[in-house]
Amino acid sequence: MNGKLSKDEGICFAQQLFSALDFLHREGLVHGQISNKLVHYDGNAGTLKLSEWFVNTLTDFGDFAGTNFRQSIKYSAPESVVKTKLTLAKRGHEASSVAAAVTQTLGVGKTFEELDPALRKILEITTSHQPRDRPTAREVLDLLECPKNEFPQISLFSNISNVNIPENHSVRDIIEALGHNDAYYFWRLSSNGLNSELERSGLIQKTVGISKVELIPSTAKSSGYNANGAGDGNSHTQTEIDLTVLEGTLQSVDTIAANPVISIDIDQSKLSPTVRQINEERRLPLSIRESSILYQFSRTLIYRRLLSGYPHTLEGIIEELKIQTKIDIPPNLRRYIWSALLQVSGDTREMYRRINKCAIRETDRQIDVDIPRCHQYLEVIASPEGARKLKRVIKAWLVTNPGLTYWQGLDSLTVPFLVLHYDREDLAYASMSNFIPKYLNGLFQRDNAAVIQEYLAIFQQLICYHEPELANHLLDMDGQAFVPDLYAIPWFLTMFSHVFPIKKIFHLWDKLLVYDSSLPLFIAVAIMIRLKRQLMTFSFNDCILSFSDMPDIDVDDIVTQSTVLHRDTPPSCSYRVHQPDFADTSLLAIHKEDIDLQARRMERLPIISLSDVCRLNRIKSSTFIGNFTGEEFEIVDDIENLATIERLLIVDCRDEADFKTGTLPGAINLPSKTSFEDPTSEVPISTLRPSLSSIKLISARGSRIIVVAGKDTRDGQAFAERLLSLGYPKLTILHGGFNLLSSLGATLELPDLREDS
Amino acid sequence: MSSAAGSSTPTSIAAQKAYDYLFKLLLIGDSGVGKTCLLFRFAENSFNPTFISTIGIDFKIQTVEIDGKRIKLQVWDTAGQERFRTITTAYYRGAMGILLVYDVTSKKTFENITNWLKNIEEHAAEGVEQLLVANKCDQEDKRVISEEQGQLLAVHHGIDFIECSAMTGENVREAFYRMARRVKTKHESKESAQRADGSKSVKILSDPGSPLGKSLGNCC
Repeated sequence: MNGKLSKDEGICFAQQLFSALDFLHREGLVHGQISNKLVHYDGNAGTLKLSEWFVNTLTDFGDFAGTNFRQSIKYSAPESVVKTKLTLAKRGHEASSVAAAVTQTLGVGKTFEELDPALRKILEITTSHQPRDRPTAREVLDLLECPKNEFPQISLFSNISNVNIPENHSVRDIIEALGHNDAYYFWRLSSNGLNSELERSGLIQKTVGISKVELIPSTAKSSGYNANGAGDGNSHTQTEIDLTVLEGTLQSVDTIAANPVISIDIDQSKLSPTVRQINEERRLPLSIRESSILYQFSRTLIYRRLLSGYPHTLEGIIEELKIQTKIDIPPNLRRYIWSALLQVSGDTREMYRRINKCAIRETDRQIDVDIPRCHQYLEVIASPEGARKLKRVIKAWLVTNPGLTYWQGLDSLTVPFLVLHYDREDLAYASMSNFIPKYLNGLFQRDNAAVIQEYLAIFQQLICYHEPELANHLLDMDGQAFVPDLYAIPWFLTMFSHVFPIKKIFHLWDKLLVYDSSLPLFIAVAIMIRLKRQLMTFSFNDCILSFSDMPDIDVDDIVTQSTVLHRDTPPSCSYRVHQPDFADTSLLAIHKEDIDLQARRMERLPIISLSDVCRLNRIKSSTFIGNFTGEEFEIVDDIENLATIERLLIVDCRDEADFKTGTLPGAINLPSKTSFEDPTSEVPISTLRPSLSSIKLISARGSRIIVVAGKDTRDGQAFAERLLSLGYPKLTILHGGFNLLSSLGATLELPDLREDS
Repeated sequence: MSSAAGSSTPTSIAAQKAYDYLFKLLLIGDSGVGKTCLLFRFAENSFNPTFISTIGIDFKIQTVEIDGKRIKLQVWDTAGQERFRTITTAYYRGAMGILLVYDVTSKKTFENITNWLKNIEEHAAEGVEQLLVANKCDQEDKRVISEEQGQLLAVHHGIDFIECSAMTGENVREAFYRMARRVKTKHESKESAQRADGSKSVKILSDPGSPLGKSLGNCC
């Protein structure tokens, strides 16, 4: 900012600069290096910009950069020459620096008396000998009679608006329309990153260190950052980012691509080649999709349109948001999409500000021990500021959840939210506050034994359900059992955030957030299936070692498979008493009161509710319990046609006499006592005794879900465990058995015995 | 004592597995005293100050040779946070040796050793070998618990004591070897007693039953 200015312009610029300073101070930032070299004039807008405002904050006043930043002496308050660090409390320094910069520019060739009186007054008070007499930037603004310009609160979604690209757009129009954040994100995808750009323009040099390549700012060596302060001509260099590659890629964005439609049911032939290309990229692996500018561009436009009205439009967009999220999430918008999926809203800043995050608590020692070991490969988390932020967010959560407590692992769980919202602790806090009740219900209670034991037991049951062969192997390894207690506790207690690096956690949670809280169980099963081939050859010792460091697995694949498992498993099979969002509340569903947690831990196979049995075999629930008012009826079909589409085979394992008095529609009878051969020396396990019913069971193996219905759950378990040892997959136990049915007053059906006779 | 080899011939399995004994050892002690680092130093001979915290349980296996016998040490590394106690005490079952670890720079971790000893009494097999391990002995300037204090506590409870440093590696091997040797001696004397009884000799030793019992979940 050089050259002469008229008086009005001068005061106007002084106002802008003090206003910039006021903004920084309100945001808790100290510039610390103000000089007129850092003031830039935007000729088009007629406004001033203050640069390098972040340098001191990023480097803790030069400490982290290994150099000692000093303000140019010309603009410094006297005492700041002695003290190297300017704290916010001493921000009076800064007003004097701004005043000096303004005066130097406006007052070229003038004596003090010739200056504008307003400016003279500011100069006088801001350069007062006593630091405490100097005004703050806000007070200077008041003197300048500057209208109180209330800065708009930076709200959660202020960066999120619909991207309006004009009809006959140029490439620059697109970049303009995207705004800084997204434009920068796409530029990064198009380039080798900021470092190589700075290197190209000679601002940094690459030197090879002993263990890695280090980047040393060459400016640190130039005079501007040296204590001698002899001229600062070269230090504040600006360089223009090269947009050629990005512009080249965005060149192909046509009007259709610039206005993507959310609905997928459109005639593909009418689409432009660019849009067809984008649509085809959807089938590529996630890592490739994430590096494709055009694809990410298209996804960004869709999400920004969806989110532009959040939170007011949540109800209208949530379903579409879920559909889109099931495809993928553009990393640049993840923080907004997650917040919307977690339904974060309200004045989170104020809410967070009011929480006492400083009070000393008994869990502090544990947190202090854990944070230096938590995701330390992430620079932001490993930094001193990162550690402070992490601790504050955890403590805020603890204060606001008095019934819950700090378990090791809560630190890992907080990190993904903090990484996304590094500049907004309040949102990290608000996000995790909504995440935990949904996906980690009960796990952070002081005594979580019941919750965790049930979780692990159901996980083990689901392995038995989907992979009986693997389950049999793991449960009997030379007399030792490789049970989930030995490897899966951190999986569920931290939603895998303790066992995967951040990038994998992001991809895993991207999908988790659109499913109910049973998905983690299926993710765990998918991991076991992925490792099955190895595990089948492993001894107990190999197993415990292999899970000691989580094997390197493709999380995207795992999650995709888990969603398939989730879809193909009757919901009641993964039912947990502590599951907060179990959807089925009908009369024939499983109810908390009917579950004996102690007994449950001993059960090898999952239970299925009568409600699921009805739904899957298309039996009217009224068949059993009459026409209760308020009871939801499942699909009503013509019973005649059902035989061919049955997905379940119901095995009534009671004695024949009981069976004949009434059973479930379509059930076959295989009495426990008579259906198995006794083990012999040749065949050491008991196999099925041949009969018409056992043939039906054998032919259903693998293709249908087998529902074993006994007198009660235990009776069914005993029978099903024998089938499990024969390697039968998809085994379930009718919850409560016939005893529960009769207690509900259900009417049973007389079996059709013609085939058996 | 059950045999890992079941009813098949123990010797052939032993040859195939290339070890004579399998011992289960347990590491317990407060969070952050360096249990995982000690184990990592022992198994990999390196040091990483930013190890992630252990949740639930972690493992390492290292084979050592003592008096011509190859001994496979299966070391169970437990979570230190007091809260995990209900979970971790389930892992005590079948442990033949327990290393109790404290940090010489933290008084609290030393004081808590008494609580850990109580846990052993309640949950571990009677007569399990115990060793009190003082870690971080390289940090002399931060030390608050002297070697004598450690020694005194060990004597008081009638257990062995060693000071070591996972960072420098000092005495780490020694600690595990000492433990292995004691378990071996005890095991061999039991074995010979059994032989004298005329009962069938069992070569390979695994912890009795499954880690958490043969059936699912009857652990706590």
